[in-house]
Amino acid sequence: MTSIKKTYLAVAGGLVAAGIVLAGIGFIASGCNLAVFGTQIDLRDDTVVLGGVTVDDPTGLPLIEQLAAVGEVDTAGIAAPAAPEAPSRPGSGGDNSPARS
Amino acid sequence: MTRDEFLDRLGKLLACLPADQVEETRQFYAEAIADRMEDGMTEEEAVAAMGAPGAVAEAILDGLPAVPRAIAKTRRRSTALLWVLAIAGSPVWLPLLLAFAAIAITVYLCIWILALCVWIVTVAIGGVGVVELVFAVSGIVIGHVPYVLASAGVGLAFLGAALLMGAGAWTVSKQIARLSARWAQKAVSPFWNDRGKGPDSGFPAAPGKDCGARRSGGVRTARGMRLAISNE
Repeated sequence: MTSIKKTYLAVAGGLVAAGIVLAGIGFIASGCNLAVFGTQIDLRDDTVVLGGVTVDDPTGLPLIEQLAAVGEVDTAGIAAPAAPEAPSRPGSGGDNSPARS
Repeated sequence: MTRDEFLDRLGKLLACLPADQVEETRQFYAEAIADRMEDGMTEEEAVAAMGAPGAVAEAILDGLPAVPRAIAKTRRRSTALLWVLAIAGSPVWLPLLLAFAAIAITVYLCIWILALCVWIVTVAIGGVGVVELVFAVSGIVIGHVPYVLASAGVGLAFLGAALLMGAGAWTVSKQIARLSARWAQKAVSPFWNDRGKGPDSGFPAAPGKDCGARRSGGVRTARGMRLAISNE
C-alpha cells in the first residue's frame, strides 16, 4: 500500500472517528435527546425546526432559507388587471337605437 | 517433399483464408523449416517435422474462432455454397446475430452501470455530509450548540465514510473494468480472438530466429491463429 493511500485512508478514518465523537458530544449536551439530530423544514406552514428548536424566521440560515422559500410565489409585483369598461345602456344614445312606432 | 512443395501445398489448402493470412502462415512455416535446417536437419527432415500439409492446414483452421472457421470450411468446399447459405440463411443468422450483439452490449452496459451505482452512492453520502455541515453553520447562527456539534459530527462522519467508500468504489471500478474487458473478449470470441497478444500466451506474436515452436508444438500468430508444428 502506498503512503498516499495510507494517508487517504487515515484521513477518512479520522474524519469518521471525529464525526462520531462530535455527534456523541452533541447528543450528550442536548440531554440525550435524539431530536438534536433532526432538521425539519415544513413548506406547508413554513416551520423550521433545527435540533428540536423551532426557528421563527429562517432568514440568514444558509440553505435552509433557500429551502424554506421553495414553492413560494412572489405576487408583490403583479397588479390586478383593470376592469373592462361597462357597455353603454341600449337607447341611451347613438345611431343604433331602435326606431319607435 | 521440399520446402517449396510443402508451402505451395499448404497455401492451396488454406486458400479459403484471406490472402495476407495465408502469406503470414507460409512465412511462418518457411522460417520454422529454415530454423530446423540451420540446426542440422536436411530439408526433407525439416519439412517432415512440420507434419503433413493437410494436417497442418486442419490444425490452423481448427485454431480459428468458430464463425471464421465455419466460413473458411464452407468456402473451402465452395464459394457459391457459402454465398447461398449466407443469403438463404440470413433470416435465421441475421436476427440471431443482432440478438447476440444486443445481449452482449446490454450486459457490458449493465456491468458499467453497476460501477456507476457505486459511485452515485458514494457521492450521495458525501453530499449528505456537506449538507449536514451547512446545517451546523445554521446551528451556529441560531446559537444551538448541541445541534451544531451533532450536525458537524454527522457531517464529518458522512464525509469520512464517503472517502472510504470512494476508495472501495475505485477498487470495485478496477475490478469491473477487468470484468468488462473479459466479457468483451468473451463476446467477440466466436468471431475473433486476441490470444496471441495476451501476456499469458507464452508464444511470440511473430516467428523469429527461435520461434518457440519446438518448445510447445505450435505458436499463435498476431491474429491469434494457431500454427501447429508436430514435435519430433
